[in-house]
Amino acid sequence: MKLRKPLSFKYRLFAGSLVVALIPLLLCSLTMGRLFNEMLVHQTAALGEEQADELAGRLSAVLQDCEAALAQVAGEPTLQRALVDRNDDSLRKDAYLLLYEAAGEVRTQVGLSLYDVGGYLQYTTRDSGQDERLPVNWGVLRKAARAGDTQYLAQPSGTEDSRDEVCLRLARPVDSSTGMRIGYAECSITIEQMRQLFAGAFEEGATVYLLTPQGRLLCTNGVDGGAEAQVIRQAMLEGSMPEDDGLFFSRVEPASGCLLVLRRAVPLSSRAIGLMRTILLAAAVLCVILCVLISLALSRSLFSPIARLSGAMHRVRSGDLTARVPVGRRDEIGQLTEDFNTMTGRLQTYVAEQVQHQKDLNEAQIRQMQAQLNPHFLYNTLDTMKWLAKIHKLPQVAQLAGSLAGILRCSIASEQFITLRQELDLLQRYIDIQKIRFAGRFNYVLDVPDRLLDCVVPKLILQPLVENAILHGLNARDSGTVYIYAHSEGETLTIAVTDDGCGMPPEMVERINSPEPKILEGHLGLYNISCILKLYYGGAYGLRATSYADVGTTVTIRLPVRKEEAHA
Amino acid sequence: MKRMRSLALLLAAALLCVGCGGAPQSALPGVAPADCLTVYTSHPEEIYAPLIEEFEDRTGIWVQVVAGKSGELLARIDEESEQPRADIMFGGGGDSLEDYRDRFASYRSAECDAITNPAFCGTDHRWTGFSVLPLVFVYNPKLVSERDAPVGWRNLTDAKWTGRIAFASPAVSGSCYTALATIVQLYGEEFAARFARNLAGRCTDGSGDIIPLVADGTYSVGITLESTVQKAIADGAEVAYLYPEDGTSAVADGVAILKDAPHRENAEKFVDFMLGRDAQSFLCGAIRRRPVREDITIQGESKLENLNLIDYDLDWAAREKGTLVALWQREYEAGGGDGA
Repeated sequence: MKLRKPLSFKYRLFAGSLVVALIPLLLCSLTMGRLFNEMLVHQTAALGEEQADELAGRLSAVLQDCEAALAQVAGEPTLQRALVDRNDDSLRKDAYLLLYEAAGEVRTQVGLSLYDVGGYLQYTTRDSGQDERLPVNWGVLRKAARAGDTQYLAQPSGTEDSRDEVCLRLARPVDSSTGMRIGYAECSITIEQMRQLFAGAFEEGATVYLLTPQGRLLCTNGVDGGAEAQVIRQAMLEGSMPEDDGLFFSRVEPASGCLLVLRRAVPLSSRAIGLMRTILLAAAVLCVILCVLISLALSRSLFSPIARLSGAMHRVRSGDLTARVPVGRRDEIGQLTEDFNTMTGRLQTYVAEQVQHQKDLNEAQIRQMQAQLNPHFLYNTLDTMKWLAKIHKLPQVAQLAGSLAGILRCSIASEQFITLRQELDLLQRYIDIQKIRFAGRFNYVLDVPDRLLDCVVPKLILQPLVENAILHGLNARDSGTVYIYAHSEGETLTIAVTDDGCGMPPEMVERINSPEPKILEGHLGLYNISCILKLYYGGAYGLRATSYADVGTTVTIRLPVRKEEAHA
Repeated sequence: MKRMRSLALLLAAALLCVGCGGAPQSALPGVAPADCLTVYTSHPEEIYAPLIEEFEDRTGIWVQVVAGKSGELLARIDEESEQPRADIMFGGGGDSLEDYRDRFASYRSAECDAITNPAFCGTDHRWTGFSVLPLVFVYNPKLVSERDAPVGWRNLTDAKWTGRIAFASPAVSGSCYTALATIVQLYGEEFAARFARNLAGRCTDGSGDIIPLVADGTYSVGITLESTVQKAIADGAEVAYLYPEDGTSAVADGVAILKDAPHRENAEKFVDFMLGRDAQSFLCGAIRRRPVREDITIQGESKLENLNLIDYDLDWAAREKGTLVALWQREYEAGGGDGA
């Protein structure tokens, strides 16, 4: 438990700093990375679309030229004648002239040929020796013969390095003026010518695939074109994208139906993205390490003073109130330490007071017990004296002994509290004794309402006051009066003992009235009463004296009103 | 905790926003499933490629070719019979197609009118012959003069050919099994056993080795298919061949539509095209295969009807294959073979 709290705090601190540091980092780098990539991809895509349009446009333009050339050739009467009559040399020359003329601008880009009706080559602008015969019931001638106009045939290349092989062919039938079929005009584009056509329309790194309408490779500038074209075709068949990181742009050439596919590499290669990821990862790791260090340092700076405080608290708990923690810092922790020190100091003072309090009480009780020395012997002796006095008809002695015995019995009884009535009864006995001693030199007036007679007071609390009044107040006087009156004011019972004697010295009055009276030399009785009242009822109650020289002294006891039954 | 969750939500939202930047316009045109056709073929590429390209051009159908050995492809068809992936089996001898006839759908093409020989069509037209492959004897003219060459199957047990006949194990080679079955059908098992012993324990690894080993003199004569030897001669091999005069068997390799083919309509177009005049003419013109149609004649070749064709019993041959191969193996080993 002691260990877990700081640890969990440490972890929370760590998690907090991690969140604050790592999330913005990740968010920022991912967002930036993606945006950057996205932007590049969009740029590449736009450029790719442009280039694909350009490529398709070039192909369409050439094919249109070819169609125009074929139409011109097919409609040329000289050529028609030359197809039928092959033995006229001048006609042959004219025919070639016309053929070259018809080929016109596309002369280098395509080969223009005339086949006779059996599919045998008659005239051609390309190097002869190739395609001397085309099957009439197969391929492009069959298509042209059936459709009666220009038809296309895309011929997938069989081998990789067949540059001079024809990849795209156009043909249209040549009919004589009488409507008889006399041959075919044919236009062919070799792989090399197709590459020339596309050259320069796309940048380094891009790959162009020209595919048949069914996706077979006609020509490409790619190195391993056959296999890649196969992948593209498979993807088209499955309706998916090839599993490579290129961007693909496709166009369908409308006249021939051929598919033109441009593949551009993605702008950010997977290696570059991988590098970015690695950097991001390294930054994240660095971030985590920093977070660990910071949380460790922070938690240590917080934890060590808290541990010191906690140790001091343990010492206090096990009773060592002198435990203090050095403050040494001005922050919240310093404040807390200071508060702890103050609190412990106050606690120490309080406990010391309590101990002193108890000590005082014990001393008072001990003194009281010492005063009770051998009381039973005294009591019995007094009783015997009373009876002896009665037998020998000495009524004053009998009364003295009887009153003294009564006072003695009360004082040795175990109960600490008696009713005011009992107290006044005891007082009466004391007065009786004193009257005999002083032979009527003083009067005694009692003024206590009946309703207060049941109040409970500590026993023998009035006797010392009255004794004080008689011995000191009325001393050296011929007559005097002692007034005792009691009244209650709310919950406070006040009993005043007043004499009209010589008065008290002012330092005495001051001492009695001070909140913590010192022991009064020769006035142990007053001091004891003051102590007893304060111990029983607290600081709000006690003795109060007022005295005027040659007028008299009043000593007042203040104590709470308590009825007998309530106290029992 | 709550704060954490909202933070995570924020993060996810941000990433989503970034992710929604829009995929680049990179696309390839798709192909409608109705325009597809999947063909399993055991033909070599130089045969199937021009035919299929022409078929694609004529019909606009995208053909997906899976090339392989006929045995493997048929086993695959058998495996996939629950849900066929292919539409067409193109290639494979008639006897092996007949073996798997339950996997094929019956289809009688209109072109079948030109194919009269019942041996070239499967039961219920579950497959139809595509090209005819008669068995021939090939010999090395430097070692064997035209006069000395074996003129018929009956000569193959002659002592002068002991150990000189190039023949592959019928367990491995389909054409050699056809030859073995032909021998049994003509002269019985006893004669076939003698023939096996006469190999003297020598045989080639596969039927593809027969012509090269005859051409280089390792063997004097061999038994092979007409189209194979014709192609070898066209490629410059110095061998000669003859048709056995006591009859030869001609098994057709066929084309068949799979049962529950996913593209039945396209598959029928494919069969029609392959049996049609154009494809069959192309077959004998450019590829030098003997067409199955009788209305096409090859220049400079003996007509199919002029060959002494025996009535080769496909059904019986397929049924007895295990027995006959075991017989051959036994006798071949008795003749000194090591079982290779």
